[in-house]
Amino acid sequence: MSADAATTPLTPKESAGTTAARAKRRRGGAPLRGLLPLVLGLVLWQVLAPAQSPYFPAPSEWGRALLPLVKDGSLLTAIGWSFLTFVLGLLLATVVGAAIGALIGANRTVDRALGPTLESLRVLPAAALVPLATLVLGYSMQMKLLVVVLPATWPILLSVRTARRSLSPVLMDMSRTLGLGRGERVRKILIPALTPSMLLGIRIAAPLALIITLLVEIVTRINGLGGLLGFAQASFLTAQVYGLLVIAGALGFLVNWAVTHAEHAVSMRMTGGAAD
Amino acid sequence: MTRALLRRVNVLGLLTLLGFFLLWELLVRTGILRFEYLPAPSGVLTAGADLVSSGELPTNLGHTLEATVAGWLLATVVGVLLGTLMALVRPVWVYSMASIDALRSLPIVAFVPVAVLLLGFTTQMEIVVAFYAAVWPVLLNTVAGLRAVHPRLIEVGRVLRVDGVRELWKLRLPAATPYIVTGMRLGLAVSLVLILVAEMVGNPSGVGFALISASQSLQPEVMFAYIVTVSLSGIVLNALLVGLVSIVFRGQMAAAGEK
Repeated sequence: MSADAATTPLTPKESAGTTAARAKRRRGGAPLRGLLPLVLGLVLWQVLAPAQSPYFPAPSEWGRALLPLVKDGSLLTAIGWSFLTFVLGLLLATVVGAAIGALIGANRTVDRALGPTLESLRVLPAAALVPLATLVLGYSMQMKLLVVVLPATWPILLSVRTARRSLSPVLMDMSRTLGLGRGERVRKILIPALTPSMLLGIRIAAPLALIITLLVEIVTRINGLGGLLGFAQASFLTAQVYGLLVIAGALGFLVNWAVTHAEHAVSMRMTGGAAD
Repeated sequence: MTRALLRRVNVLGLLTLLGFFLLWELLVRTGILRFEYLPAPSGVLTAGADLVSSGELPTNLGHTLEATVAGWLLATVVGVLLGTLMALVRPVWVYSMASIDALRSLPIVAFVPVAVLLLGFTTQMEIVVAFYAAVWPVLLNTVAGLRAVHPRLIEVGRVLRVDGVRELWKLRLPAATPYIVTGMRLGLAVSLVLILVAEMVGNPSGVGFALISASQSLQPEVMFAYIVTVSLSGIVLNALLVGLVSIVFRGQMAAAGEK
């Protein structure tokens, strides 16, 4: 069952790969046959694992160890919390990152003035912020969000800033000539022009946000999938740890897949299908 | 001359950064910014100085950096070897890439509890975590770099009768060097973060543990001092790597248009 959980998430991406041109496939998507070693490894593990192994419980044990969590609903609640944190964090990061990025990129002086400050904020390792954030904000949702938002903002901010900086001034001048108001200029010119770079930023930020969400939860043991993982590890429920790891992996894959496809869909729509 | 230098150094930006710190100091001192545990920058500086003179900070930082670099170097060796194998031997790539994609999509932090379970609260555990974090970027960049080598380069090599191991050593690997270096830089950043997590939940030593214990003993100044030091050492490690690479692999990096 766990082998299933690890392998099935790959199919959507692969089926998309087969419909695409052969050349593209040669460049990007790896053939499904490549899953063979992983599946083989899991099967061997299942066969060779000693019964009641304290360190390497057989994959079939993983599912069994997760059952109590499924039954009392704590697994679903935990996934819900993690997902909520992830989505809210990513949304906030997008809004903040895109807004600041667009403002900074619009003006060279502001850009130069804030550059070093932003750079020094960027290098703060997210993990190191967790204990500090718990001290200042307590073990709360705000704390979780702050720690997720801070690192997830950078890819979006930097991407939008670069795009805004290299935006042709003609585009803005023309809209002024056409007599568009400030609001219209933002809505009709700026937002469409900056959306692709924002999406690119989101594609980098999304996996990061998920990792940081789990990180906060593992370190602080508050609600969420990471919290469950932390508890399982602390109480030496090895099989449960492996089971939760598989679920976290599936979640990670789902997020990657969703973000990539969303980006593709939006860019297709915006360019009328000319992008591909 | 000095003018050109001034232009290169972002004076305005540095002044702004300084301004932020002054504002922070001012706001905390006057009590306008009132968070219970938000220290002023001056407090962080004195705490940092105390930690350095007591030898606590250098010891912890040394431990963390040693584990990071050990795991990362190991990851570089393994990543480049496996990556080369995957890029050059087609069946190996076909029969492993999808597995690697699947393993890679496991959020790396979720691996930390597993490592703690299997290896206990040890430095080996930290090194394994750093290794695991850094091996993916190195491996994938090596594969990408070797596959991006221009076919004409290889054709020229054939004409000059460069083939086999010499082709790999003289043509392919040098051409892929910029990619591999990018992978190493990414790996370094990730393994430093993961080491901190490992120290927070597992091994009671190093900067991660110091951060947790400072949090439990309510010493925000100490935490800030550690956070700043870790950030700075991340920058320094990265700069060292970039500098070293630009000296050792000067030709390769120049060929790729990087400095």
